[in-house]
Amino acid sequence: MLLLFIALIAIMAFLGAPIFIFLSAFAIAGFIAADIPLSAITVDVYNNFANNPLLYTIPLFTLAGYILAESKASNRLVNMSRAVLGFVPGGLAIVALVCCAFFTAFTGASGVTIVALGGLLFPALLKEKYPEKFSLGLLTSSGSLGLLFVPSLPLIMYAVVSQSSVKQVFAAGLVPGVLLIVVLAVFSGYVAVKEGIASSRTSLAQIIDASLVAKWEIAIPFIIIGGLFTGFVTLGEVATLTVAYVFFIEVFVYKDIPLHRMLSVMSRSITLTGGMLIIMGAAYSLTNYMVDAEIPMAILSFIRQFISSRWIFLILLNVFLLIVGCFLDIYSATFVVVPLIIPLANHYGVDPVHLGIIFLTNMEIGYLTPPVGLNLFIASLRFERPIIELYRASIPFIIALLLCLVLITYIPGLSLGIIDLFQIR
Amino acid sequence: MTTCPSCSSTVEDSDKVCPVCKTALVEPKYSKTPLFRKLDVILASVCLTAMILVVLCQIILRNFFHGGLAFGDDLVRHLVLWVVFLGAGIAARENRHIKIDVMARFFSPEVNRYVDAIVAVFSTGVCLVLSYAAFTFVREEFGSGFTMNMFNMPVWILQTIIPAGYLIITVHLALSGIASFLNKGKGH
Repeated sequence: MLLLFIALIAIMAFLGAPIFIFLSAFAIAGFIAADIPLSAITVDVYNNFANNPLLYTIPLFTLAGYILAESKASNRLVNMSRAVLGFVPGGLAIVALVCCAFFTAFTGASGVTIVALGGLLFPALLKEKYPEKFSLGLLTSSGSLGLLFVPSLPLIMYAVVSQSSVKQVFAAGLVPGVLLIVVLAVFSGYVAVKEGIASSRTSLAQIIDASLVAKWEIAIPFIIIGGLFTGFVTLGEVATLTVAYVFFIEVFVYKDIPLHRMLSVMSRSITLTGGMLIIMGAAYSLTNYMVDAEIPMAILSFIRQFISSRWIFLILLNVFLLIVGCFLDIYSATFVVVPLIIPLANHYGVDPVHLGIIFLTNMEIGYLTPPVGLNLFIASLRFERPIIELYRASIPFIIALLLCLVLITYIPGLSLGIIDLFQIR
Repeated sequence: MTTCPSCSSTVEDSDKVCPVCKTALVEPKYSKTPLFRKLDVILASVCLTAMILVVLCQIILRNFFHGGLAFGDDLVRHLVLWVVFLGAGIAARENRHIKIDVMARFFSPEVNRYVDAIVAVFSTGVCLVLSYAAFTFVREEFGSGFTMNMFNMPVWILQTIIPAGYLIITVHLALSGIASFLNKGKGH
């Protein structure tokens, strides 16, 4: 009977029932089978919200991201980084990488990056004679670059779900995030030299001009990192200050957003937060049920029969996560998969913070892989190209990112070194 | 030609839904929406703004006056609850809950019409059970008589948003199921 229910729920999931509905349905089925009163589902959801000091940063950072996306911050950032980086071979491509990473760190790879920056950068890349296929692949893969940088929502979510220190998770993302950008930048430079693309020259005056225009926005990461790591304020307070600051500069300093448009900006960020965190609530009661039923332990004792080495575990973990990333969006994957893999990682001696970086790098690649990689669909619609063309254009970038994934997975020091160095708790 | 408010891509004036990010384009002109149809948006925005103001107060009080609001943290965490459940209600109204819609790409619109109807019946049913579970939870809390640190306000008052939110979602799921069935699958 229970199996029949589970099969029914799984079919509904694939036919397009909302994710929070079918996760709740699994939890309800489990609670009924275990004879637990249904109000326990709500107890789990409520406790999660009422006791978690990190959760309220999510609506705040989301709002800050939407205000930035609504303003003309993208233009100012591109102009400034073009002035600064224009002289490097592959300069414009590197500008694209850096700006997309900045934007994604704030908007959480919801596709906003490709749409907001793609329209600006794609024509510019073609005008400087970058091959079309390269430009498409570059912008598609840049759409999720930056997930590993402060204050990206997936990092906060991972810290919440895995109950690790959010400062450690933030710090751990820095070097791997830079590594991804550097590898793609080197590749871009190589393409630029091979295609004989001239790098532009900019004067110091131009750099200063463009920087002065964008100075208020450039300050944002420094406010966040400074506030957080000097210890004057908590993450929640940093999120609040960020939102207040971003609101102030975009509405009153740059005057990009008239005050009456704020209601629709808020509405959109609230809708995203609601849709995301209600999944978290549903997943929370489901994973609580699974832990009660000792399902993670059962999985562990099952795979322990076959895998004895940590290295083999990590290889299989990557394969598994890449498959997950092909089918689930990053938030649902975090809520459902992370509680299941943490006990496994513990057993094989993988640090939970390191696991988080491995997990998110896999998810980042998942955005680019067929059949359901979100970036591919958004780019296909945005640049009006058939999706097959984007599959092909992304292949070199996927290979480069997989290479980084191997390094990130097998050199824990890339993620954990900075934590040890600065003794971050 | 205008731009989509959600993703700023170019859209035709006649488009009802943005071709890129599937956002409803008619929705954001809140200045022209009648009040009762944007109550959820206004209430959620008030909660979010209140959250920001309470935390800002806390920062100022702590750093300059060495004090703070005793109920601040508690209040903020309950306001998040309101923002989330109201937001999930708006997402349901706008049909924007995240789903795995791989299969929909393979079916014809006529088939999708029936698939959507069946899925809507299932989703509505599940959400109704969730509303009931949340209702019994609040009833138990009502019996327990816990109060907030603020004006002795009973906690259950702030918790009512959970069953109310699920109920709002239930209604929107049912309505959008009916609408897409009657539209003969034009929603896709």
